[in-house]
Amino acid sequence: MGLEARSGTAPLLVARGLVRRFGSFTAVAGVDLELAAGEVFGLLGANGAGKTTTIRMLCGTLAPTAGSIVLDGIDVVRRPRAARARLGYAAQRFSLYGDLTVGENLGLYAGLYGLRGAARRARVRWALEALGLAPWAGTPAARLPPGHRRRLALAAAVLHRPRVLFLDEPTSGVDPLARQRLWELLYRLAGEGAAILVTTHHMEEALFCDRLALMHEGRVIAAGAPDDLRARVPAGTVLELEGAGDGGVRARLAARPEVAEVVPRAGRLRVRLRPGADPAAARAALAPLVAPARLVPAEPDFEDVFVALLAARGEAAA
Amino acid sequence: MSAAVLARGLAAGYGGRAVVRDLALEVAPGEIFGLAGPDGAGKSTLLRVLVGELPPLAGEVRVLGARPGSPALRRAVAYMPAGYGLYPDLTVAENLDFFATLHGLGGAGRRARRAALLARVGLAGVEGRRAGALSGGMLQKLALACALVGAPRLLVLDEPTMGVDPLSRRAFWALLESVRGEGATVVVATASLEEAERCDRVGLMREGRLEAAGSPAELARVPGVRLLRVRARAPRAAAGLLAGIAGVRAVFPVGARLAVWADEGLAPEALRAALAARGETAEVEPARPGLHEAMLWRLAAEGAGDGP
Repeated sequence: MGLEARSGTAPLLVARGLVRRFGSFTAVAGVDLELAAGEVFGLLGANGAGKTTTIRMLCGTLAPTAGSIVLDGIDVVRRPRAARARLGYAAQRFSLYGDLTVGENLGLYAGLYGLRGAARRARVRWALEALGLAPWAGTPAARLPPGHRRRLALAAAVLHRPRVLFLDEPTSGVDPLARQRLWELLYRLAGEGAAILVTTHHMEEALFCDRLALMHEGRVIAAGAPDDLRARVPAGTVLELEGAGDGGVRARLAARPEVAEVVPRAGRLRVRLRPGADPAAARAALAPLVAPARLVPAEPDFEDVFVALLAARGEAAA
Repeated sequence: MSAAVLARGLAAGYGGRAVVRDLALEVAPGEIFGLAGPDGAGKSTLLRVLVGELPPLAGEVRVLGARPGSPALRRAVAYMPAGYGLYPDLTVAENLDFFATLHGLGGAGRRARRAALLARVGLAGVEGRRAGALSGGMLQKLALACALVGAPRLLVLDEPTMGVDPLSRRAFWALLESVRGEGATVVVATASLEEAERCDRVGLMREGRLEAAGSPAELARVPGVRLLRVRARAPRAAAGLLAGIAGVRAVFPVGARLAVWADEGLAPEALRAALAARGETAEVEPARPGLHEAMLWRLAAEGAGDGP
């Protein structure tokens, strides 16, 4: 359910029953994933949920304790080196040579992938252009702004035209335009046939994905297209205040037992009901507190999705 | 009452190199003030000046009316650094006691104070556990308890909720609200503009400068343009069509939808009709921009930052 790759295409990546233990700690506790060509897939969750451990197993840089991974027909667990020629991995911490220029760093990586001569120069030029790094080609890597450093990591990961691309937290700490441009680049690479897996702890980035999996404590607690997952939030449990409320309205709402929290969003107050609260009864009870303004049902965001899913598992009581 | 934080012409940095430049800032007592901006904008550097960890290179700074780092502020100002700055090999109780000692709080009443703080942040019952064995959400709560141990009047937090799950985030913000409810001022840095909307006022930092400050609603206001949300059958192809329609100023694909900035006068129906004339059936609805959307528009409109 939601874990199968889009119908009609053979998946480029199939992982089954992935488990990874570190001593007595289980970082990943049985994860199944499928990725198709042309798809941007998100792995969402808090730090410590198991996202990076999962990605490292999929890339063949960390052996799973149990489970199987097949990438573009190659058994990643048995033949990690062969698999690595077909995948690109932009890690959170990217090793670059600070004294070398951006162009020289890419040239080095291209060499590691076995690219030589004119082919190497052409691919470096392509990557510089594709990632908007051309104006920085002659700049020492150490002097790149942090957002651009991430772009350099991505450029290095796509030099050899990988079929499957993995990015670990590529948008963490970048400005809104850099984040938008990164997603647009991923759409372009997916449009050219790559399968792309991105991890993020920013819940609001879920909407950028074609499909996604929400991870919590080493497990996938739900997976599917963004709109399918949003449909799992019980109707009427997220409300917005329509019309002007007086200064005390936020405190009055927050004090009610059926209200989990009241937060400002885009100039309006969002009211999240507590898991288990009856939406109709809650709205009736809250209406007199906000009059003449009104509380109307709002589209849930991915924080709401996450909380609703945990509530369904019995972990979000009160 | 005078400002909780006041800075004029402030420059700060490392090895003589200014990371923060010509910065002016005023934070009112009792407000939750957010410092938002990407990594490298200078948020952490500014916070370190406010808590007295980093002397300024130039300019004036006053925190609760005193020079940062002065002995009068030892207990009044608390700092929760990025990564929390806890001791993983010490237990929860030992971490708290260590910070209590730093704030000059002696042994008398230590146990009662510790119990009250841990109950407040939701960590009762784990006093003896090693900090290194706590989950991310619990570590964050412990870090907040350590920051609150001296009952500060100014609480300074550097990306306190980075990477924690939504439930922990909610609990954390509820705690910040309660701290403020007791009269404290809160200055919190975040790279997330969505999260910054929870603050009373927000300062937008970029390249070491404070570009703008105001309430989230004020900062999200963008005159002359409006935001429309478009759901098309083929969103990636529709992006190209939209860009060619008169009145459309910027198009941002977001998964199955598109965020479209257009002239104020462009009605959703007009955009829907223009798309239909080009063979694309789409739903178009007006949307309210938040801080993130407004900032994205501003950066795109000024053609920001694509060269050294």
